[in-house]
Amino acid sequence: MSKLCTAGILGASGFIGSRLVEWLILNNLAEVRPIVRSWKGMARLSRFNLETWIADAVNESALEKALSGCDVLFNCIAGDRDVILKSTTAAYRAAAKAGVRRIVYLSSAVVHGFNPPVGTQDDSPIILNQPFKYNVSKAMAERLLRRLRVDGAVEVVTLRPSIVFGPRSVGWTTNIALDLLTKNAYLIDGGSGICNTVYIDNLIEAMWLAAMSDRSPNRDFLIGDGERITWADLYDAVAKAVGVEFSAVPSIASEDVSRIFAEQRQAQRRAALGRFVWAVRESLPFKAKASLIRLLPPNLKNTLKQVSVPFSKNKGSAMLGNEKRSFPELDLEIASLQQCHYVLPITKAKELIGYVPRVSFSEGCRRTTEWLRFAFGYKQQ
Amino acid sequence: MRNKPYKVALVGCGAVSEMIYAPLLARLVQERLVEIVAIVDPNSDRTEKIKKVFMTSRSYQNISSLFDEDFPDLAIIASPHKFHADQTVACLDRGIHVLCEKPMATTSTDCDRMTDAAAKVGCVLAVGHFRRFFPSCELIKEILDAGLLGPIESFRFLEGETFSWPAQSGAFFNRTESGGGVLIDSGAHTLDLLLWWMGEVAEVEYHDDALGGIEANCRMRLKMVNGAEGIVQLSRDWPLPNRYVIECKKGWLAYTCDVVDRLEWGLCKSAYGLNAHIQQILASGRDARLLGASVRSFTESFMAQLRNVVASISGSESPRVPGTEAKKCVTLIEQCYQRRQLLDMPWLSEKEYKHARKLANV
Repeated sequence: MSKLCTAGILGASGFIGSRLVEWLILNNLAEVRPIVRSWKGMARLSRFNLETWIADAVNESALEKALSGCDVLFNCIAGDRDVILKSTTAAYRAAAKAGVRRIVYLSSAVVHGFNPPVGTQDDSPIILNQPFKYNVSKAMAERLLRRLRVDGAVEVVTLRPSIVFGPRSVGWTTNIALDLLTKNAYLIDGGSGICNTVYIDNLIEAMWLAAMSDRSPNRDFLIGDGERITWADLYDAVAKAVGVEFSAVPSIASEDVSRIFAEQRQAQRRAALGRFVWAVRESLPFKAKASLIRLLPPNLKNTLKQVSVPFSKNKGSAMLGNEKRSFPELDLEIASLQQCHYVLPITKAKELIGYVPRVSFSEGCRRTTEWLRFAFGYKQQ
Repeated sequence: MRNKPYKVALVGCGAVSEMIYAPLLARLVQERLVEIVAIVDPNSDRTEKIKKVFMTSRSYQNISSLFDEDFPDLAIIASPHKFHADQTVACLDRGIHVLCEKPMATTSTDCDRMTDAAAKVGCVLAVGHFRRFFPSCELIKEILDAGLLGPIESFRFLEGETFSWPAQSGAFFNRTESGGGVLIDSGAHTLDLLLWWMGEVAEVEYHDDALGGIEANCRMRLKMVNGAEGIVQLSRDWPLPNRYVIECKKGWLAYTCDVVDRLEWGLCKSAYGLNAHIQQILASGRDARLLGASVRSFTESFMAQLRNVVASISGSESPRVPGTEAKKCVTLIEQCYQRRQLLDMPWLSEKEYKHARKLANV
C-alpha cells in the first residue's frame, strides 16, 4: 500500500475505540483520526501526537466535517438507545456526504439474545423482542443500518462481538475484579455456562480486516475467540489476577435465579421505604412525630415500625447500607448471560475476511492480568 | 483591616473559574471582602459566562488590555499552565498580588522568575495547592512532624480516575500549553502534599506512557532525604484506589484523596485500625479535651485558601503556599520529565511495545 488509509474512529475515547487508535498507530496501519464528543475525551488519546476532532456523534454536519478525507469510519459509539440510533443515522449520512468508502459498525452478539438458540449463525435473524434495553437498541440499530445502506452510498460491515475482555474493559474485566474483591461476584451453576469471549485485540484485528477485505461489505459477522470458554474460566482468571480465591465465589442454581432476584427486589423496596420513614421521623419535631403516628391506621403503623427499625438503631451504619446479605445482589443481565450454552461460530469471519483469533484466551488472560495489576496499583515496576 | 474591598481580576475562564472560583468569589463579594473588577479570557463566550456572576466587572481578551484600563489589587491566574509564569510576572511587576493556580509554572526557571518578581516588589505570590487547607492533610502534617508514629519508612500514593474534568479547551492535552499530562496536572497536588509531609527528595525514577504526546499514566519511585522510600502512581486514564498510605516505624496513616474530614491510622503490630472522623477542638487544656463542630468541607477548604490570600495581602497572615514553596513541586516534576523512561506495558504485543519505544523517544 503506497499511502496509509485514513481511519475515522467514532467513540475513540471508549474502551474499544481507544484500543483501536492505539493498535492502528502501534502497528503503523493507518492515519488515525479520533473523533470524541468533548475535550475531556482526549485524555487517553493525547498520549499520541495526533489531531483529535470534537464532534457529537448525533450531529451530522459536525461529523461530516470530521470525516472529510477519511477512507473508513469505525463506529464504536456506546450509549443509550437514543444515542445508539441517532448516531447510527448521523454517522451513515455524514460518511456518505464526506465520501467515506466503508463503515465498520460495532454491533453486538446480543442482537441474538443473551442465550442464543443452538444453531445461531451470523445470518440468523436478529431478535427485536428482548427483555433487555441494550440488546433491543443494538438490534434496532442494525435494522436501521440495513435500511440506510440500501442507497449504496457507503459500504457497511457489521461486527457482533460478545464478551469483550482485556485491558480497560469495564464490563468484563474490572467490574468482575471489583465484584470479586468486594465479595459481590457470583456464578450461575458454578460458572458452567458458555462465555463467548473475545479478547480485545482479536476484535480490533477483526475490525481492521472488515475494513480492508473485499469480501466484507454489507455483511454481518459474529466475532469471538473461537474457543470453548466458560464463565468459570473467565472469573478464575480475573480472580487469580487480583489475588482472590476463586473457590470462594458463591454459586447459584439457574432454577433459583428468578426467586432470589424477586426476593432481593422486595428487600430493596423495603429498605428504601425504611430509609424514607427514617428520614421523615428524623426531620420532624418530637411532638409532630407523635401526633402523626397517632393519626396512622394500626396496620400501617406496624408496617412502618418494622421497616424503620434497622435504620433507627444506628444511624451511621444503617444509612451506609451495612445490612448483612445472604447472597450478592443479582443482576438479571449477568445471570442471563451466564446461562448461555452455545458457542457462537466465527466460521463466516474466518472464511470471508480471513479472521484468525491470534491471541489465545490464555494469552489474553495473561495480558489482562498484567494490566489489572498495574491499573489496580499492585505492580511495582 | 481596610474598609474598601480588594479589587480582583480573574484571569482565565475555564472550568475551575466557572465551577469553583466564581461561586466562592461571589460569596467574598457579598462579604465586601473583594470586588471582581476584571475578567480575562481570549474566548468572549467564556468571559460572558463568568460576567453573569459579576455583572459590574469588565471583560478583557488579554492581560495587557486589562493593564491599560484597570488596576486590580489581586490577580487570580487560572489560565492554561504555559501562561502562568508570564501572566504572574506581568502582574507582579505592576505591584499586583497574585494567586496562581497549580502548577505554579511548567519549569523551575519560570518559578524563579515569578518568585524574584514577587520579592522585588514585595507582593504576595500564593499558589493554589488548596489541599494543604484540608483538615485531613493538615492533621497528617502535624502527626508526622510530631513523630507520633515514628520516622516514615515507606509510602504508596495511588491516585487516578478516568479524566472527567469538564475542560473548556484542548489546553490540557497539548504539551506546549500544559507542560505535560497527568503528572503536571493532578500530580502537582499529589507531589505538593508528598513534599510538604516528607521533605526533600533524594532520588527519583520515573516512568510514563506518553507516546509522542503527553502521559495519561505515570509511576515514580522516590527516595526521600529522610530515608523513606515509596511509590507514586497517577492516572487520568483509569480509576486508581485514590489512597495514600504512609508507613512509619510504629504505625501507619492512610489518606483518601479529597476526603477532608477523615483519616485512617493504626499501630504496626495491632490487628486494629482507626477510621477517624476529624472534628474541631472545642475546648483544650488538661481538664477539658472537647471536640466540637465538623471541620470545613472540600469547598470551604478552597475558600480558606482564598481567605488566606486576602489576609496575606492585608498583612494579617502569611500565604500558606508561597511561590518559594510551590516551586519545589515544579522542580520535582521537571526532574521526572528529564529522567523519563517508557512505562512497562506487558499487555501490548512485543511488536507494539517496540514501536511504542520509538514513539516515546526514550
